[in-house]
Amino acid sequence: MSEKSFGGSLTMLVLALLEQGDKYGYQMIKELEMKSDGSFSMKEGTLYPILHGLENQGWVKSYSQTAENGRPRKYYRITRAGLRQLQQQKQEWEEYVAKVRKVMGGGLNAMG
Amino acid sequence: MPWDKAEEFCHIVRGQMRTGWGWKNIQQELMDHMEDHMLELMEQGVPQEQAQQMAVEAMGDPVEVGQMLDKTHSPWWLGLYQISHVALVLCLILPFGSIWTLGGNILGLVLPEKDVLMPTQLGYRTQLEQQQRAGEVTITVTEVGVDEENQNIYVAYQVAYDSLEGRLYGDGALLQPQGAEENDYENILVERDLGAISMRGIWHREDLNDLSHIQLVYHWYGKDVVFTIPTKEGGA
Repeated sequence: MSEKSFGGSLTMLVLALLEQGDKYGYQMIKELEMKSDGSFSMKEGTLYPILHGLENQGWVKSYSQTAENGRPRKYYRITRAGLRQLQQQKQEWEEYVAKVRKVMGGGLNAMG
Repeated sequence: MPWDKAEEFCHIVRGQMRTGWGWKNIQQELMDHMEDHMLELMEQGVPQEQAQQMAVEAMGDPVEVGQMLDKTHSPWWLGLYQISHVALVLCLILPFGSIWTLGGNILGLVLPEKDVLMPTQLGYRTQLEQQQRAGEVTITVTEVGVDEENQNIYVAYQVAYDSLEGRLYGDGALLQPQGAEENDYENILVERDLGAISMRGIWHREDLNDLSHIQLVYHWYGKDVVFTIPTKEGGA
């Protein structure tokens, strides 16, 4: 699945990853890929404009820290505003999915 | 670890961006990412040259990445940043009057007064002057206040940058060290200036009564510094 097929939801996925703990870019890519069983593999460079945009919005905050491999890395942490935004996006997503299900269900009934 | 293909990728990305502000940090982040990927591939047995090629290709089209970064770090955003400082200076130099009052009210919303955030009734409050350098940054802790009733610790500090570039993209904050109990925290920017920011961190600690001090760390690209802040009389 390309990143275009889930468009704006990428920000929601990135925020959701950070909700589980602070992470650096490559770590996020690997987790996104692993947790989606390889379905969400994005062009890795496009993660950074997303992260920097989220930081401009105040939804994440970056800081530098030495990673487990001993090298300094730029970590991202979700802010309280980011958590609120994630909550709102999750709700909108669930509403959207519910509507799709309803339409699909209606379609199936009509066919039956 | 500089290598040609990664540097070429970064060069093309940079070519799409209309501003060079903060580029050093962006480039470092992109290079770190490609290095992480390359090393992982090499651990899997991929030869170095092939691993480098694969790591760069996985980044996608550098033109697309550069154009996306340009939107995020667009000059109008930087312009707005500069205008906000001009507006701040104008409001400060204008004499008392309606414009001053209006400006003051607007600024009051944007830049809250320090005492709005730190409660006046505190069990323990003291001025400090703990200063440390972390790379190109000087961090000075100026005050600590302890709200025993709500179990909150307030720490006021300043972060001064040697260069404007570091100021724009290197904003950091004091954090509790990894592994420390971290129930709740908030870092609030209370004042900004071209070369420095004033911050206040608020930490909620359920174990406040048992604490004599709190340790806070400032991370700056591997040059971390640790502050020991008293939370009681004679605590640190």
